[in-house]
Amino acid sequence: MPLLQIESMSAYYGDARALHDVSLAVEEGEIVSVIGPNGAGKTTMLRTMTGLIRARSGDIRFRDVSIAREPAHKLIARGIAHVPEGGRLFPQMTIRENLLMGAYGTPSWKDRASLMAEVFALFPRLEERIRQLAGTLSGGERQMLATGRALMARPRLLLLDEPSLGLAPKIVETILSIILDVNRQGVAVLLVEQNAQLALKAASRAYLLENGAVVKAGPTAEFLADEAVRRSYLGV
Amino acid sequence: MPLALVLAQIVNGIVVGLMYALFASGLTLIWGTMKMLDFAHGEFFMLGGYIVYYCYAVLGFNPMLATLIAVIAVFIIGMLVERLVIHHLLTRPVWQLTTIIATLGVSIILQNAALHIWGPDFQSVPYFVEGVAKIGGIRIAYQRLLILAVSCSAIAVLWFILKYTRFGLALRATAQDSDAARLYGVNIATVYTVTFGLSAALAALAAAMMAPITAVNPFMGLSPLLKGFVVVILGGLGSFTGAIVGGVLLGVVESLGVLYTSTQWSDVIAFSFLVLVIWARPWGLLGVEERN
Repeated sequence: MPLLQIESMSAYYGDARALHDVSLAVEEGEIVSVIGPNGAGKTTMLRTMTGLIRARSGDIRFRDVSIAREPAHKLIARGIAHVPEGGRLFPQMTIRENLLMGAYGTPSWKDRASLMAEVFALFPRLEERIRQLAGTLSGGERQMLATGRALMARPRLLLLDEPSLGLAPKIVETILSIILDVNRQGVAVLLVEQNAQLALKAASRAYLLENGAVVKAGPTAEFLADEAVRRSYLGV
Repeated sequence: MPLALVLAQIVNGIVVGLMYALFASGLTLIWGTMKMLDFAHGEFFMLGGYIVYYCYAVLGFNPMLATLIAVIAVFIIGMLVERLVIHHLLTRPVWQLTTIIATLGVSIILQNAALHIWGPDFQSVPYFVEGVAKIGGIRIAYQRLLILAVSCSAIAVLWFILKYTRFGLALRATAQDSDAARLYGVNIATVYTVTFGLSAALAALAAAMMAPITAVNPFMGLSPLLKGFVVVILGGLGSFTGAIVGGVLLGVVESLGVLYTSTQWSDVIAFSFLVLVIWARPWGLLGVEERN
């Protein structure tokens, strides 16, 4: 039984269908990537999974429980932490308060002090600026804080939406190594990326999303060997 | 002009200004969190005034107990209004407009209910404490000192709640990014309900303090509502500190202005002051300039 299983999920913006019968699975402890061009529905897919948009049909199961009708605010306690595109931090709150928000809705609230120490071990730079407002951080620091906030919830599944967006290659490397670190501790990761190179390097399996539908799925090795994928998404 | 008189007016201005601040911080709390305008805020003020009148002047309760009853009752009424009316509008299109109309409707209903129950007359409320303090050369009624103490404590408590409690964290998170707040476990519908109740309770507290000075009547909420919007815009929409600073500043400017003109001019002074400030800083004294 996979950790997360999405079965023919469809979602709409008004009357426009944004997702067509998307099916996807993430196994316990796995890193799975979703790649695809801008506007393919990658962000919509994550937002539908976490209930910010209601799926109109299909089912979403997490640890064999259907969560398709679950209100968005209850998913974090189930172990799904969603890091939205751009981090979506609370700009007028300090780093410390943003991290506290990560533990807010979960049983890990009572362990918030030790969890914060763990996050600071991963991102020492955040500890140096603990009282600084999130809105004043650089792009790389924001992504670190957004990831740290998610880890404060002690998730079983981490959903990352374009963590490399707008970041310098060196910072992307750092973020990637942290994702791998987190994964080694047993957290499954669903990585949505336009940067296919990064996504295929990190993951063991991948999905290609185009026009709101899954057009290819399989081990990343298959993607790397696929001529069309290489031409369209890897630029080689 | 004697210095003592000017000083006395400044103190009076601060007292009235703190009432404005209490009232306006409720408006700004709602704007900051729910992004809507509450036109029923004046009627929560009015209800607070009547409950104090009834419990204290009619039933003879201790005035502070009467105040506590008013604050708690209006807190609950505020939450009910949110749950029964606002809640159903916020998730639908054009909620920015429908919530204005709905709160105006609530305001009219509450005003007319008060008119029906208590009649159109002004009901006077005795001072909570009698007597006048003489500090330096200034004479200040104990009632005004009480207002000073109560409103400062209320503002401090509110600030503490927003800054240091788990609920305050959730409220600020909701205000800054409601989607991210939901992803991290905040039930924003509950936050909205409690915020609305808290806001109404602040209006009721302001009314309880002011009732002995202004007397109560069904339309007593109108003038504070106008002043409240002045203060909120003056301080910067959604800024809590802005509402406090704006409120006190407006109170002082008004009472000093009255010294040189007359009380009929107080509204003219308030609005002229507002025009001047937003001319120089369209985003208010402590608001953040919005760039699109």
